Amino acid sequence: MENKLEQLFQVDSEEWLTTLPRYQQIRIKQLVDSTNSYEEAAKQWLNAMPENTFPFGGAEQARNISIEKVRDEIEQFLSGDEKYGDEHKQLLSSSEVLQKTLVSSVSAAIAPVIGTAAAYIMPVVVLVFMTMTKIADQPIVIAGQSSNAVLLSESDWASVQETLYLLSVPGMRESIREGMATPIEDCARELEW
Amino acid sequence: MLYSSLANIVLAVGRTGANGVSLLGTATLLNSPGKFVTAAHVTNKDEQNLVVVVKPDNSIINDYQDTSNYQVEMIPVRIEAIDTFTDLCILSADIDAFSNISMGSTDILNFGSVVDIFGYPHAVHGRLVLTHQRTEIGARILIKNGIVKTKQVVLNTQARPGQSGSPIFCAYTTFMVAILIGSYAPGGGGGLLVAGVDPHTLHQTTHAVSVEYVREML
Repeated sequence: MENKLEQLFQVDSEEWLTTLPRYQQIRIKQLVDSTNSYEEAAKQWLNAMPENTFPFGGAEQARNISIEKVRDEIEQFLSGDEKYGDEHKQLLSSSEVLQKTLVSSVSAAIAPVIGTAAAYIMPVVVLVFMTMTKIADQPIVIAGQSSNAVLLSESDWASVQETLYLLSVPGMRESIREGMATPIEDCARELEW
Repeated sequence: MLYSSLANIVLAVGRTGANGVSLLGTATLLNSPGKFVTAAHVTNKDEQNLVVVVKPDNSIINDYQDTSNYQVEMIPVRIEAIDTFTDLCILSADIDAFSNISMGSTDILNFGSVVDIFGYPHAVHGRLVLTHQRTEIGARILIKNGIVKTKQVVLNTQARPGQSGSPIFCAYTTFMVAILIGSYAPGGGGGLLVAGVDPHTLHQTTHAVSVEYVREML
């Protein structure tokens, strides 16, 4: 993936949600909060259907789109596959590529290939990008000749420092473990401090 | 709003192909240039070759509709907004026309409220007859779709394929309050078919979703 596009993934993954229209932001937020998984939220979006209702429209077989198919097409677009050559080139020729531009361009390009509408596939594209951003937050191992180094995100580094500090306080580890093992009914109802 | 103008506002949705246009359901021109509302499943989430179908000689609702006249005009549309959780979809066409429809919600209905339905029953079999039905609200219900529950109403009348997307008007206020999406069927129906008809759908428990969700999509 080109540097210009990689930079778009150096954000908090939730920022991708703001590229969606308001009604889809609300719906996707609901799905992410309830499933705790971007992939599961995408599957629920793709498989939504009102319960116990027989639809009175369309003589066509209901279309089922898999998350795997969407992911494959996104990967092909981002890697500059021949199939998406023109759209990919056009996107990169823009002076500034924003997250919203990327979501719109990818959705518009892959929708006809999958056999759907850009407006329908856009939340799934966003959820895939959210997953990619989260993965980008993972530590990166930099291989050296004599030893390796690890590159961490700032938030992960702060978290490690905090943990090390807490564990350096004498008795803190035992106190936390003891607290975690205490049944809720044995916990104090009033604090004496 | 007067129902007399509905022949130019309530249109059929179809998809063009090698053999002409296949009718899929009903759509309504909103009070916003070129915007129509229909049920999401009518489009099958696919906007390729999607059109709204106009019968030019049927601009007056009370005229006799010639069922042997297959001359139609088609307006290409794209899917502008779609939410399969509410089963609603906004279609957009490059036209300046808009309607004077006012939108309410199912909140203004009670059981027993009288409502008017306009749509194209049997459209999926090629019948293009704008048809009016008057009925009462049997119940206000919440229908689950995954983790989302949506406000719907039960219409005490039988509907047929082609009526999905039909607007439901409160007879008292003439506000559009709901969009017809289907009928009750345990498990979603579609199992046993007798002469192409699912017997589970032959009853008077028709479902329509509140149009309050349409406002959020515009």
